[in-house]
Amino acid sequence: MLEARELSKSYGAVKALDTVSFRAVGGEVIAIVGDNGAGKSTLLKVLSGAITHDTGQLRVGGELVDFRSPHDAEQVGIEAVYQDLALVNTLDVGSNIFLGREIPRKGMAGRIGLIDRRAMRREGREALRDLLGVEFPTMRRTVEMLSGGQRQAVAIVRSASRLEQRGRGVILLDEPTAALGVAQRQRVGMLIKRLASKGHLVVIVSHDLPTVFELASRIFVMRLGRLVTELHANDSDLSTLVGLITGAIEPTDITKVVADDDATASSDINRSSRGTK
Amino acid sequence: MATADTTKVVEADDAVSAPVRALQIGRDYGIGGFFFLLLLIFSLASPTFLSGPNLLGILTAASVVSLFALAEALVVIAGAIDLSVVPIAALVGVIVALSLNAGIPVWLAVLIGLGVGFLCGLLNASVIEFMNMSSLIATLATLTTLTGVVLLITNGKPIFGVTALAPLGQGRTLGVQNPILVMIATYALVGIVMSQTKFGNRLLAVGGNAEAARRAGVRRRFYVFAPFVACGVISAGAGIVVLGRLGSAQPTFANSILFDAITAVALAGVLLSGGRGSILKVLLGSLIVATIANGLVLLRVSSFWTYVTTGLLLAVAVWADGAVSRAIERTSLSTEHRKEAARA
Ligand SMILES: Nc1ncnc2c1ncn2[C@@H]1O[C@H](COP(=O)(O)OP(=O)(O)OP(=O)(O)O)[C@@H](O)[C@H]1O
Ligand SMILES: [Mg+2]
Repeated sequence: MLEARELSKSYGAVKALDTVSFRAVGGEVIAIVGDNGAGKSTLLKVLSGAITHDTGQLRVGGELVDFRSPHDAEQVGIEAVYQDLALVNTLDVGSNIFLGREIPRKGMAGRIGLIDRRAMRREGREALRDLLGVEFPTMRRTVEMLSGGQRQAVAIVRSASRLEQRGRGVILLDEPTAALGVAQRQRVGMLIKRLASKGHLVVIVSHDLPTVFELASRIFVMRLGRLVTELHANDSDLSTLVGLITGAIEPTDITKVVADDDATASSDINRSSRGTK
Repeated sequence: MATADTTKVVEADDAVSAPVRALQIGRDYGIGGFFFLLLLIFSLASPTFLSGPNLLGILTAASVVSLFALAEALVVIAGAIDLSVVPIAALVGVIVALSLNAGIPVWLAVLIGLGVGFLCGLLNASVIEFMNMSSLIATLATLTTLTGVVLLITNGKPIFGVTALAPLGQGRTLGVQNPILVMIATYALVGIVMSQTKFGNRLLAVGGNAEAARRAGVRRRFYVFAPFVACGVISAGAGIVVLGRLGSAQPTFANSILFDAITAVALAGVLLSGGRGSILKVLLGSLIVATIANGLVLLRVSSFWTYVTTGLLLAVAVWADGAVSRAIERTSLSTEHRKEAARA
C-alpha cells in the first residue's frame, strides 16, 4: 500500500536520499535504522509530505501521489511523529493534540467555526491515558512547560489518535521513544503492535535496536542516503544488524538472507546497492 | 503499576513548579495590576481624574488607538509586524471622504473604505509571501508609498466638509460616544474569534511555530494572509472613525499613533516573537497608553513628556516580558534537572 521508487533528495552537495525504493503493506511494522545522518528522518519527511523529494515516485494504495504539504499526506491517511516533535510550544496540550482537527461545538455554533475547548481537553486527556497511560494533571498547560517525555507523549498521541479515526492508514514514527521512561516505552510498543494489528502500516525509525527486533518484521538499513539492505527480523541478529549499520558487514556478504525476500523489493535494493561500487 | 508511577512523576513536577506558576501569574495579571496602580496614582494626584467626564474622555481617546493596537496585535500574534496601519487609515479616510463628497451613499462609502483596507492588507501579505520579504521591510515600503499616495491624491490638503459620518464619530448611543461602542464591539468580535474559533486557534499556532502548524495539516499560507488582511480592514475602520470624528480627512496622521499602538501591544505581552496574545490585554494596553496621556495633561506636564513616558513604557514592557519568560524557562529547566537527578 506504500511504495517508494528511487526516491532522491539532495541538500546542496549532500545526498540525503539516494534512489531509495521499498514497498510495505498495511498490518506491517517496518523499521528504518542507520547511523546519524544516514537519511532516516529525511525519508520519513518525504513520506509525510513535510518536504518534497527531487526525483522518484511515491504510491499510496497503488495511486501515484505528489505531496505538496503534510496536509496532502494526511488526506490519504499518513500521520507522522517527527524527531523534533513539531509541537507548538505556546499552545496548550489540548490545542496541540487537536491542531488542524479542532472539535467543533455542537449545532449552529460549530458550523460558524466555534470550537469546543473543553471537549478537546477532555478527549486529549483520555487519549493520553488510554494510548500511553500518561496522566496529565492539567491540560491547560502550554507545551513549553512540559518535560521532554511529556512532549513526546503528546506528539505520539496526536498522530495515533488521528490514525485511529481512520479505517486504514500509515503512521511514521521518528525516534518515538527517545525521551520516554521505561514504562512509557513499553506502552508505545504496545500501541505500535495494536495499530499494526488493526491493519495500519507502522514505520518506525529508532536507534534502539533490541526494540526494533522486538517490534518490526522487516528492518531497512540506511547508510549515506541509501537503503543498503533489508533484513527479516526473524532470521537475523543484533550483531549482523550492527555490522550493516556501521559498514563492518557489506550487504553483499549476506545476499543469501536477502535472496529469500519478496522478489521485487529486494531486487530493487540489490540493484541500487551494487550501483555504488 | 506503570500508570501509577507516571502519575507520581507528573504530580511531583507540578508541586515543584510553584515558582513557575508565580511567574506565570505575574506575566498573566501584571498588566491589570499596573493599570490599577496607574489609576490609583493619577486619582491621588489629580482630583478631577476619576470624574465621569474625564474617564469617558480617556475611553474616547483610547477608541482610535485601541483599534490600531488591535489591528497590530493580530499581525504580531502571527509572528510579524505591520508598520503601515496609519497610512492605510489615512488613505481610507481620504477615499471615503471623496466618495461621500461625490454623493455616494454612506453605507457604500464605508464598504469601499473597508475594501481598500482589505486590499492594502492583501498587498502587504503578498509582498511578504511571494517576494520573500520580512514584514518589517515590506510594510515599511507600504508605509512610505501610501503616505506619498495620500499626499498626491489630496495635494497635501485636508478634505473638509464631510458631515455624513458625524453620527458615527461624534454621536452617542445611551450616553456613550459611538467610537467607544465601535471599539467595544470590534474587541468583542475579535476576542471571540481569537479565543473560541478554529481560525483563532490556528492563527496562534502559525504564529507560535509555523512549521509545526504546517506539519499538523494547517494551511499555513492562509494564516499568513489573514492577519494582514484583518489588520488592513480594522485600520480602515479606524480611519473611518477618525473621519467621522474630525469631519474632515487628514492626509497625514501623527506618527505617535503607530508608536502608541505598538506600545499597547507590547504592554499586552503579545510577544514580538508571536504565538501568544490576549485580546482583552491589548485593550488594557491601549487604555494604559491613553490614561498616561490623559493623566499627564491633567497634571499639567508638557505633552513632550508623554512621548518620553510612552517610549520608556515600551522598553520596560518588552524587557519585563522577556525577563519573566526567561525566568520561567530557567525555573522549569532547573526543575527538570532536579527531577533527573532524583531519578538517577
Ligand atoms: N534541512 C536540511 N538542510 C541541509 N541538510 C540537511 C537538512 N536536513 C538533513 N540534512 C542532511 O541530510 C542528511 C540526512 O539527515 P537526516 O536528518 O535524514 O539523518 P538521520 O538518519 O535522521 O539522522 P539521525 O539519526 O541523527 O536523526 C544529513 O547529512 C543532514 O546533514
Ligand atoms: Mg533523524
